[in-house]
Amino acid sequence: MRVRDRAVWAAFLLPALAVYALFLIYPVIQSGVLSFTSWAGPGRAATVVGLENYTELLADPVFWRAMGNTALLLFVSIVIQLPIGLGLALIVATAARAKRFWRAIYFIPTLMSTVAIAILWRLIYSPDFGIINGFLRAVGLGDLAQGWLGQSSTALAAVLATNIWQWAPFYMVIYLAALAGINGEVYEAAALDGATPWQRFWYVTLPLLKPVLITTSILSLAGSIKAFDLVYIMTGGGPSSSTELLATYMFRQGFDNYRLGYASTIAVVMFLITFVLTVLVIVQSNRRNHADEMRGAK
Amino acid sequence: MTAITTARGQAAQGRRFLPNIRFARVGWYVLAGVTAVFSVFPFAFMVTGSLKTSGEFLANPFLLPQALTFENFTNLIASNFGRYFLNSIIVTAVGVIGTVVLAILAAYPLSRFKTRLNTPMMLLFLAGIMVPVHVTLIPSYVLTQQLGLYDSLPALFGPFIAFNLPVAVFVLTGFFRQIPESLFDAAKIDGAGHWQLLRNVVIPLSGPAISTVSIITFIFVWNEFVFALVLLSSGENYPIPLGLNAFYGQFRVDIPGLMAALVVATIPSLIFYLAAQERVVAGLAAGALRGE
Repeated sequence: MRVRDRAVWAAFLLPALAVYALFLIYPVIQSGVLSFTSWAGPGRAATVVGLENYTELLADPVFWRAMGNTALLLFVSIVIQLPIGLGLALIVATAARAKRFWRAIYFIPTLMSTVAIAILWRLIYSPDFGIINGFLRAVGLGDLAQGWLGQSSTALAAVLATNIWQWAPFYMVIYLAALAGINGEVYEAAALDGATPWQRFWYVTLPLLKPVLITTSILSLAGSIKAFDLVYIMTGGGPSSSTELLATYMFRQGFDNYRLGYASTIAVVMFLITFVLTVLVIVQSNRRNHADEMRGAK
Repeated sequence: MTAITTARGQAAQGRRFLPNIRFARVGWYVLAGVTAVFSVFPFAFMVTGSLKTSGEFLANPFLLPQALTFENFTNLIASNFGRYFLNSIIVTAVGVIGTVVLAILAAYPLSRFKTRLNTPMMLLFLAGIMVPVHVTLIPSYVLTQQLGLYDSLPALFGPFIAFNLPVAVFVLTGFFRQIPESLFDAAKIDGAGHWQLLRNVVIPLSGPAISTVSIITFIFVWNEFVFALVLLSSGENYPIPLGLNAFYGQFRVDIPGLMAALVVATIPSLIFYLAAQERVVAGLAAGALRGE
């Protein structure tokens, strides 16, 4: 490339790169720097404390609680939410008519803003006029009626259920796009070989969806680690940290307790976890693809 | 032969994905119907609730309203809600336009220039897709104060655009690459420079990709909550999500009033979806399938 072209190349990229560097790259690096300090916010002096925040974090029971809850959210997202999303996609894909209608109906939760969903589900879980308790009383199971979000034993499950409800349709849309891309001829071939419908699903559909299953797993793990809005509004991380996630705990330490250094340490942990898990999934899936190719070559 | 014939045709087309064929139709409708109830009941609860008076809601929270009342909606007009709505429109317009313009400018050199720097530049943008918003929250808060933007709508512009650029640049670069070289050669013979190529060749051909990027960005910005929570403090600057949260604190007793606000907040997304269903779906899928 000539020098002049190089200058043009850079000039076109510059505006996007400047915004991206200032509001994304620089803050990520700055979070790393702040994680080694103790700081009560702008106007106060920050003191360098070395690894103190990290050692405190490792001994912080609430942090481990948040890690455990985030891990559970991640697990539930991949093991329950993605299959439900695939199930929804299969229902829509097998509709005899009006596929768009069914897709629109199932898609409503993902269309609503998270804040609206969080408020609605607080009302739905409400002990007095919530739908769930109303339903239980109506069918004679009034004894089971309880304050779902107000007690540690049920709050986390209640929040996780809402999260699945909200995001499963998002994955449905992705799976539908992938299903539409499968060539019908492979099913004809499978049918000719006498494959039962289950076998066709298991040995034809699922393997063909593998690339999408991997992408959605990555999306789902990134989504779990940054999950915040729903929990923040539904429970604020409580009662007694039972629904605390990494993001809500980071927010609480940073913006309620003004421990910006400590909160940055939690942010760094979030970043590292996302980074490591993504790399692991990508490496693992590449290795599998490679193995499949080797097998195919035989 | 029968297997082949059943695998064809519109009605049979869908069956290939699902195991069962024989009890299919009845079973399908039961399953689809029950699932639909699960998907829609909170939405129905919200809409019916917004049409009740407070008294009726407390007496009868679940069933259809006895008499429709629109008082909750007219009350909204007198509240701050109009302000929240306007703020959301401003932030969304700037966020979407800013992202699209910057991403077009960046995607042009990445797709049309041959240089070894393209790959590292692309990776730099792609890495941003995985960064959790919370990792940038505290430095953004500090930076916004240093720039004198704290507690004003422009405080949100930078973070919103920066977080939407990765996907936007990725989608547009992929699309621009597919534009046939011959179209560029023809324009170059006419003496077109880079600006003309971009304006007269690239942009007119990229409608689908640009609308995809706009949709992904719209959905993110319209619903964004945490940056607004951290970078704004006075109620008059709140966009809708933050406004709803404030309403929730304020209207805790007037649930139908709150429901009406939730309905109004949800309407733009619904209209948007119904008007451009295929584009929205394609947009989300493109945003998600990147890297494929």
